[in-house]
Amino acid sequence: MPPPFPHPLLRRDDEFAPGSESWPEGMSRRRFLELMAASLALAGLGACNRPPDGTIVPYVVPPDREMLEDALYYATAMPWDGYARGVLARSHSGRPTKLEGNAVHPDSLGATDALTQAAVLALYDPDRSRAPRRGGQVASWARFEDEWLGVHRDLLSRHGRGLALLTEPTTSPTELRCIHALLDRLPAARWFQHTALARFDRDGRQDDYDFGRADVVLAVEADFLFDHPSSLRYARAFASRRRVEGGRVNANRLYVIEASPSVTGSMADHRLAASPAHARRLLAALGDLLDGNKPSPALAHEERRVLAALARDLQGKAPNVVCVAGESCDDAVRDWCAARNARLGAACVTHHALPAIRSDADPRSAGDLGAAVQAMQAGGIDTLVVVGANPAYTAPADLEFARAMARVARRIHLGSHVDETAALCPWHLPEAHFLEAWSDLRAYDGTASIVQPLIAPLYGSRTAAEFIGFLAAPAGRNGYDLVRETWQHHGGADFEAAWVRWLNTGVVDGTTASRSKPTAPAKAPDLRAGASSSGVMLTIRPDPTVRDGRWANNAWLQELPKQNSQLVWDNAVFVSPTLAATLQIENGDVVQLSVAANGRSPISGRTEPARSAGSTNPNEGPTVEGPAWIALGQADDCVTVSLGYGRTAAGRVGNAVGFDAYPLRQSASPWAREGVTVRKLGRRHALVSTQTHFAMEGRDIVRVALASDPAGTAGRPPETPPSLYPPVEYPEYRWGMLIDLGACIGCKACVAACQAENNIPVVGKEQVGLGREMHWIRVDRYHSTKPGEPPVLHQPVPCMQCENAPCELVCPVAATVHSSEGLNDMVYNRCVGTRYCSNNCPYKVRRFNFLDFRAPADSPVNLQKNPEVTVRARGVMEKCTYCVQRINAGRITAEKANRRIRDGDVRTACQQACPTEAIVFGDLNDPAARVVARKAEPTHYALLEELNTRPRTTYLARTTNPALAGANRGDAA
Amino acid sequence: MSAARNLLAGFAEHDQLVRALRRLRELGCTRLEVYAPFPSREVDELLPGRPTPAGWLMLAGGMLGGSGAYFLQWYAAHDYAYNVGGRPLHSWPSFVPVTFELTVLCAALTGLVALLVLTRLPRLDHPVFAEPAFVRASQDRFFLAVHTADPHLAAIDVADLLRGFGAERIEEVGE
Amino acid sequence: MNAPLAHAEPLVAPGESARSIDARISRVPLDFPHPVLWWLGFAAAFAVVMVMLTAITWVFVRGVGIWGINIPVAWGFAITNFVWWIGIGHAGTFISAILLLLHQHWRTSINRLTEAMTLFAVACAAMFPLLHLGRPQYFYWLLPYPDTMGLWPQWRSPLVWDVFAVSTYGIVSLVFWYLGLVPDLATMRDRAGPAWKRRLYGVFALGWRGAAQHWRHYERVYLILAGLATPLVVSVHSIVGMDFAVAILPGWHSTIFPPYFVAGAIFSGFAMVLTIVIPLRALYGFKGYVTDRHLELMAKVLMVTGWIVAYGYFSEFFTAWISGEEFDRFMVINRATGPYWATFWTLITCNVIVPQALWWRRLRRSASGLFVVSLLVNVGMWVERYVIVVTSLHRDFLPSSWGMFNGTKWDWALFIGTLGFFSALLFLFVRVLPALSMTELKRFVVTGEETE
Repeated sequence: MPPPFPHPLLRRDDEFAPGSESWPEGMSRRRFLELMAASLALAGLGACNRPPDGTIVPYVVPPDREMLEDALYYATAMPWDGYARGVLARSHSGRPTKLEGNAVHPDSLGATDALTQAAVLALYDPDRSRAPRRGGQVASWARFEDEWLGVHRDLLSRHGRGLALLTEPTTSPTELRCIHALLDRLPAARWFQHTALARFDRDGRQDDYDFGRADVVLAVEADFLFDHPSSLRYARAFASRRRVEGGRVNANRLYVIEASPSVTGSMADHRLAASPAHARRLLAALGDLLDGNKPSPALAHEERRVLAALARDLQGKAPNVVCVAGESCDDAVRDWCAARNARLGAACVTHHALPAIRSDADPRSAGDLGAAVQAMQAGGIDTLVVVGANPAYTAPADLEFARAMARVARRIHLGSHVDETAALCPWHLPEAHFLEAWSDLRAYDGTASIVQPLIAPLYGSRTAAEFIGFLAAPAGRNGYDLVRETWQHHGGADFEAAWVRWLNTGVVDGTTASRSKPTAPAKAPDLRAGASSSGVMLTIRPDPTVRDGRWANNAWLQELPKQNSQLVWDNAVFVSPTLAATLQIENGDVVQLSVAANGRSPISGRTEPARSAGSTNPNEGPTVEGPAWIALGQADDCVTVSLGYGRTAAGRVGNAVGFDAYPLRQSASPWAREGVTVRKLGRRHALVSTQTHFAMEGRDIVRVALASDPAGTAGRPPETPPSLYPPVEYPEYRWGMLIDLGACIGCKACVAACQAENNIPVVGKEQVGLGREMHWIRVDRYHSTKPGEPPVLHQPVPCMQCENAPCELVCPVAATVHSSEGLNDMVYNRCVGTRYCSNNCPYKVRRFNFLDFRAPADSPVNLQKNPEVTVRARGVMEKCTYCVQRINAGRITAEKANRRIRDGDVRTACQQACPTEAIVFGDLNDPAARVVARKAEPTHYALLEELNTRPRTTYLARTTNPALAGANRGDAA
Repeated sequence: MSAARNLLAGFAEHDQLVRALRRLRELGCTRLEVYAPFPSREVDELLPGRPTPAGWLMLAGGMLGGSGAYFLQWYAAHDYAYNVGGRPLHSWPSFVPVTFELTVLCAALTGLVALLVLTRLPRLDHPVFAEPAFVRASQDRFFLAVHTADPHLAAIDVADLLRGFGAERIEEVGE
Repeated sequence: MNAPLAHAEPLVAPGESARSIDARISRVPLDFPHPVLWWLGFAAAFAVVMVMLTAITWVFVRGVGIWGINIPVAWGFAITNFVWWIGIGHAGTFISAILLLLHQHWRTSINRLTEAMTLFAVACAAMFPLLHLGRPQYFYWLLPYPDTMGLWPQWRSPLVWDVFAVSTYGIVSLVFWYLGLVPDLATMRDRAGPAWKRRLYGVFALGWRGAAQHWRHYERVYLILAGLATPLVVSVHSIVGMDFAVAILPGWHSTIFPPYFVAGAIFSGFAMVLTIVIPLRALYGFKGYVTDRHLELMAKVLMVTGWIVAYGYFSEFFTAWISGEEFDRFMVINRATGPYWATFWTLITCNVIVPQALWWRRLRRSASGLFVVSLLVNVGMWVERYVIVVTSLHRDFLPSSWGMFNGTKWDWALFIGTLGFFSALLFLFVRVLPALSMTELKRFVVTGEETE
C-alpha cells in the first residue's frame, strides 16, 4: 500500500465545511457533493479560501494526489472503549471507504478487529443525528451558542455551581484538557464519568501482559484475546506460541476458568466452566495445591485433575507464568491473581507507571454515574451536560437515572445519535465521527495518536473536545487548534515537522508509558468466603459485536455471526445443556430471568403456563425475558446474558432487536448476580445462527495436532491424486493461501474486513434465517467430542480457488472460469444465475443474490462502497476473489517499477485484518514466498482433498497443548 | 391432348379396389392413381413408381447436423479458449450429447421438408376435389383414377370394366 | 403383418367399421358433446392458469428469492417440476415410437392422445429452466449465437445439453404428432359442416387427398421418425439424469442415473396416460377403442418400469454401502432417517409398494383401481425428484453449511399452476382435434394392417 500522507487540512476555519452547521433534513446527494467538493478543495488546495456556499467545485483538475482512481491512506486512530486503536484509513476521492491496521501502533500492529472494520460504516449511518435539536425540533448551533452564552454568564456568577458534566471515560489529552479548562473556569462545576463497559485499571493502575513470554497462562473470566484494549497485541503474542514453524512449536499452555464460552476460552488447552462463585472455589483449591496443602473445597474429579496439572505447571514453569483475572472479576479474585503472580515471580506481567491512561480515576472527576445520580437527587444540579454517553439506556437499573435526571432543569446532550438519552434532553447536539474530526487518543500503553479527519463533517457535528471547550469559553475554537495546542510543547524545537511526522506515522513518539514491577497484596485473600453460593448465578457480558449497545445500529455487526455462538441479529440467554435439560428448554424458548431482590432463590424446574409470563414474579426483583440458547461450555450453575440489545432509539437497524439486559444490572455488582430464577415461558423466539450443525460427523475437516509432536499427530500431508486430464501450467503467478488453524482464534475480523473491502451486502435476520447470508469468508465453529481434541474448533472458509474447480465445469455460460494465475474468477456480467455452481461446490462458499440486496440508491452507506469492486445485482452468483482488485493494484505498481510482484505486496483484506497472522497469501511460484514456506509444514492439509479439486487455499492443523491427554474437555466440567 | 380426362371410380370395399387395380395392371396400365383413407400394402405393391428417397435424404440431413454440431462445439471451445475446471479445450466426451441431439433434430426436419417436397404439398386445390363424392376418400371410400388416354385402354370401355368390379359411380375429372 | 399375437380378445371392439370409427371420434370436436362438463373443466383449469401467470409475474418482479431456495439448497421446486414434467413427456413418444417398432398393435388406440400429452408436458417442463434463472432475461446466453464478445455456451455443462435435448425433443415430437394428424385432419375437413371449419381443417390438412404415391413417402418418413424418436426418448432423460450425475454431490454423482431416470420417466408417463385416458374414454365413449385390455397392458408396463425404478433406489443404497464412501453412506442414511424421512418413505410407498398391487389381474382391469394407482405414482414420482434434488443438497460435505429447504407459497403456486396449464391444453386438444387416430384405427379394422 502507498505510504500514509500527512493530511493537508491545515487551516483554522476549515474544520466545518461551509454552511454545514445549519441544514435540517437528511443529506441529499447534492448536499454530499457540496461537502465533498469542499473537503476535496480543502484537501488539495490548502492555500485557497473556502469555496462559496452552496456551489459545487467541479472535478476538472484533480487536486494534488487526489487522482480519482487511486486510494489515499491516512493514519488516524479509532476509539475503543476510549482507548486508541491505530488505523490507516483508506480514502477514495475524498470518501473514507475502509479502515486498516497501523503496523506501528502498539494496539494494532497492522491488524484490526471486527469493530474497527465496521466503524467506517458508522460514519455513513443514515440514522446519525444530522442537526442540533431543541425540544425535538431542528435547531442550529448558532441558536445553541446564543442560549449557552446566557447560561454561561449565569454559571460564571456562581462559579459553575449546579453544572454537571457527564462524559464517558476518555484517553484523549485534548478532551481532558478541555474538561480541566472547564473545571478551572467553573470550579464549582462537577464532572462525572459513566461507561457500561469495563474499567481496565484498578485505582489508577493498569496491568499489562507479555503473552509471548508466558509458558503457562491462567485466565479467570478474562477474554484477553478479544475483549481488551490491547487484545490485538495479546492475540498476536499468544499466537506466536501456537504457530508450528519448521515442524516444531514452542507452545504455551492456556488454562481458562470462565462461566460462558468466550474467544479466549475457545483457545484453552484446559477449560473449566464455572460460575464466578464456583470459580472462587476452584481458585481456593488451586491456592491450596500451590501452597502444598490438601485442597479443601469439594470438587469434581475432572476439576481436581486439571487443577493439579495447573499447579504443577505454574510452579514448574515460573517465572514464565501469569494468572489473569478479567475486569469483571471482583476485587478479591483480582487480588488473588496479583498476589499469586507476585508469589510465582511472574515475569510476564507489568504495571504501567501512574497515572492511568484512561480518565476513570482522574483526580478531578467527581465520580461515576452513581455519584451523579446522588447529586441530581440531592437537587444540587440545574444544568446537566451529557457528552457521548447514553446513560438513559446503559445505566444500571438500581440507579433510576431517568428519574434523577428529570429533577434537572437544563439538560443538554451531545451524541452521534438521537438516542435514549437525547430523548430526555431538550437540547441535542450532533457529535462528530472520528473520521470527520480532529482529536487525539492514547493506546493502552499510553502511546498517543493524533486523530485526523478524512472528510469534512457530513452533518455539521462537533467533537466532545470542541463542545466542552466551547462550554468552558464560548468562543469558537475548532478541534484542529485545540489538538495542536495540546501538543505544542511536545514536539520539541521543530513542532511543525514533528506534527507532520505524527500525522504521517499515526503515533506521537515518546508517549509510551514506562513500566514498573506490579505492586501486589502481600498475601492472597481467602476466596472460600463468598464462594458458598448455591443455585443459579447470572453473569452479564458486553455483546461480542454490539458491545454495550453503541454498535447496535451497525448492520455489519448485527449480521456478523457472534464469536461465541454464530447467532446474528439477537442476543440470547446462554444456558448449559444440563440446565436446559433440567428445565426442558430448547433453543429459542423464551425464558424469564428474575433476580431475587434479597439473596438467593432455587432453580425452578417447573414450566409456567404462557399466560403467567407477564405476571410479576414472587421475588420482587427485576425480571428480563429473552430467548434461550443452549451453549456448549456454559457452566451448569450459571446463565449468561449480553448487553446492547432491546434498544428503543438506536436507529432503524438496532431498534427492537433482541432484549434489554440492563434491568438485571446493579451498580454494586454490574457483571454478576446471585440467586437467579429461570422460568420457561410458553413462547418461542426465532433465533437465527449462520451455522446449524456443529458436529464434524467424524469427517476429516479440522485436523488437530499435539504441540508435543505436530508432525506425528497431524495426519498425512496433501499429495496430488492422479487425474485423467493433462496438468495445467501457471507460468506467471500461482496465487495461493494458507490458513493456520493453530493461530486462528475465531474473532471474525476477517469476515468484517471482507465485507468492507468487497461491498458485501447485509441481508437481514429473515434472509440469514433462510440461509442467504452473503459473507464471502465464514468462520466455521465445530464442537469436537473426541478426547484429546479442543472442544471448540474454528475454521475460516473462503473460496478454495480449486484448480479443478467443480463449479466451473457446470456453468452453462462460462461465467466462472480459471484465470491464467489460477484464480477461480466469477464474471458477474455473464452470470445468468442457474446456481448450479453453488450446488456443485463441496465447500459451499458461493453466495447468491436471491433478491436485490443492494442499499437504496439514495442511502449514504453507498458512499462507503469500494470503487474497485463491482456492486452485484439481483440474480447473480458471487464469492471470494482472493481480493483480485488488490492483486491487480499490486500488479500495476510492480509493472510501473518494471518488476515482479514481491511477496507481501499483495495482502488480501482478511489476511490484513487478522490479528494473529493466521492467513498467509502469496505466489506459489515464488520459492521465497512465506506461503510456500508455511505450506511445507508437516501439519499442512487440504480440505476435502480426496475430491481432487486441488484447492489453492489449504490449512495448518489446529495445535493443542494439553497437560493431560484426553482431559481438555472444558465443557465436561 | 385436351381431351385427356381421368376416370375416377369410387369403391365401397378395399378388396374391390384391389381387384380392379390388379386387372388394370394386367392390362398394362401405368397411369393410375389410388385415393384411400389409409395406406394399404397391396395397393402399394400393385401401383407402379419408384421407391421413396425420403430415407436417404433424412440420413444425409442427420449426418450433416451431427458433424455440424460437433464442429460448432470444437470451434467454440477453441475460438474463445478458457480453462474450465482444468479440463482440456477439446473435451470430446462432453461434446457427444449435443452432437447426438442435433443429428436427430436435423434428420427429423429434413424428413418433414422431404415429405412436403416429394408430395408437392401443401396443395389445397386439386381436380379430384371437384368430385363431390371424393369427400369420402378420406373416410370410408376407395377411389381409383384411370387415365383415359392410356394406349392400353384404347380397346376397352374402362367404365364398364370398373363397374364390373363394383365401382359405385364413375366421374370424369380433370388432370 | 397380420396380428402376430393370438389375442384372446380383440383390440378394437367387434362391430366397429370405418364409418363408425370416423363418426364416433370426429363427433367429439365437431358436435361438442357434454358442453357443460367441458366448460366446467376448462374454466377450472383456466383459473389455475391465472395462478401460474401470477406466480410467473411475481418471480420476474421480485426474483427467485420468493422461493424457498437458499445456500446450500440452491435448486428446489423449479428443477423438481422440470424433471417431473419432462419425465411425463416421455410416455407419448415411447408409445408412438418404441411400441410401433415393437409391433405392439394396441398402441394404435392411444398414441395420438399420448403424443399430445407429451407436447403439453414438454411445454410445462420447458418453462422451468427459464424461470429458475436468477436473470431470466439472459436465457438466450445458453444458445450458440454469434455474440459481439465472441462468447459461446460452455459445452461441458449438462445444462447446455439440456437446452439441446429438450428443444430437440419438443420439435421432433411436434413433427411426429403433426404428421400423424394430417390424414385425420383431412377426414375432419371432409366431415366438418360449416365452411369455415372445413377451411380451417383443410389448411392444416395441407390438402391431403390420400393419394397412394403420397402414402408411400408418408409411411417411410413416419417410420424413420419413429426410429429417430426411439433413441431420442432415451437420450433426453439420460441427459436430464446427467444434470445430477455429472455433479460431485453425494446422491447426485451416480452412474445409475441415466437408465434409472429413463425408466422413471416412462413409469410416470404411463401413470399420467392412465390418469388422462380413464376419464376420457368414459366421457366420450371410446371404450370400444381403448379397451380394458389396453388398460391392462399399460398397467403391465407400469409394473415393469416400477421395478426398474425400485432397482435404482436399491442400487443407490447398495453402491453407497459397497463403496464405503462416508459421504455417500451418510447421504442414503440421511435420506431414510434424516429430516426429510417422510418424503423418502412416501416415494418408496407410491413407487415401489403400491405398484405391487398390479400383480392382481382384477386391479389391472379395473379402471377406477388403476386410476387411483396412477395418481399415487404421479405423486410418488414428483416426490422422488424432490428427494433427489433437496435431500442431496441440504446436507453435503461440510456440516457447517448444512441447511433446510421449505417450499414457499410461490413455489406451490407455480407448480400447481403448470398442472392447470397442462389440463387446459388437454381440454382444448379434445375440443378441436380427434383424440384418437382414425386413420390407424380404420386401417387396423379394415385391413388388419398397422402403420409401419
